[in-house]
Amino acid sequence: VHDYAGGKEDWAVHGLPLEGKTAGRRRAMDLMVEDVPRCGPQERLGAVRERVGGTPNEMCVVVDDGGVVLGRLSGSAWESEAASAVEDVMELGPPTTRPGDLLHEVVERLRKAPMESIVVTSYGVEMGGGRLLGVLFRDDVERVLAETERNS
Amino acid sequence: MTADGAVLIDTLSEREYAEEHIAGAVNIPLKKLDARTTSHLARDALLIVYCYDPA
Repeated sequence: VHDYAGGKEDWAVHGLPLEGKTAGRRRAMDLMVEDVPRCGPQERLGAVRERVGGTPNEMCVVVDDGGVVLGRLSGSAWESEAASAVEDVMELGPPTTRPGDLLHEVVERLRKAPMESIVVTSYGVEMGGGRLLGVLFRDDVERVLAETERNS
Repeated sequence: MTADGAVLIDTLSEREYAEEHIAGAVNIPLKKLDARTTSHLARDALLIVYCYDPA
């Protein structure tokens, strides 16, 4: 007996065939933006602000050397002292979702919170989990789900 | 894989299996996994069990 530890979601994110009522529905990985601003916890806020823009709508994901998500800079965090270390002003442990999560389920979380975006991270701890894969924006999800509904 | 005689066993609930499962997998929910529900599986087959994700 072999334990496929990655499970159904690992299978799905590799684009392998699925069957069933929801098979083929779009997932977080299909819409996430991979090229998002990122910074380290030891960086100074001023330097990151200069690089990223630092307006309240801007967001920067804080990652360690291995790419594991530690926090997020957004909103009022940008207004802190320029000399502040990122780790002192970041939002700790921001909400995350998995690449294989279905869009119609993720959007419910985004609406309920409400949140404009959510960080997408890799699975599990033993398999290099928690690494930044991208960010999923609510506007993108709402648009795609509305298009899907119109076309169905 | 299943063509080579391997058996993929989805251990999620019947509802979750109906929604989505790996192509070719059979469903034996973890709560029902016992000698009786696995008696039809070939003893010499490669059995691959999976659930949702590694978390």
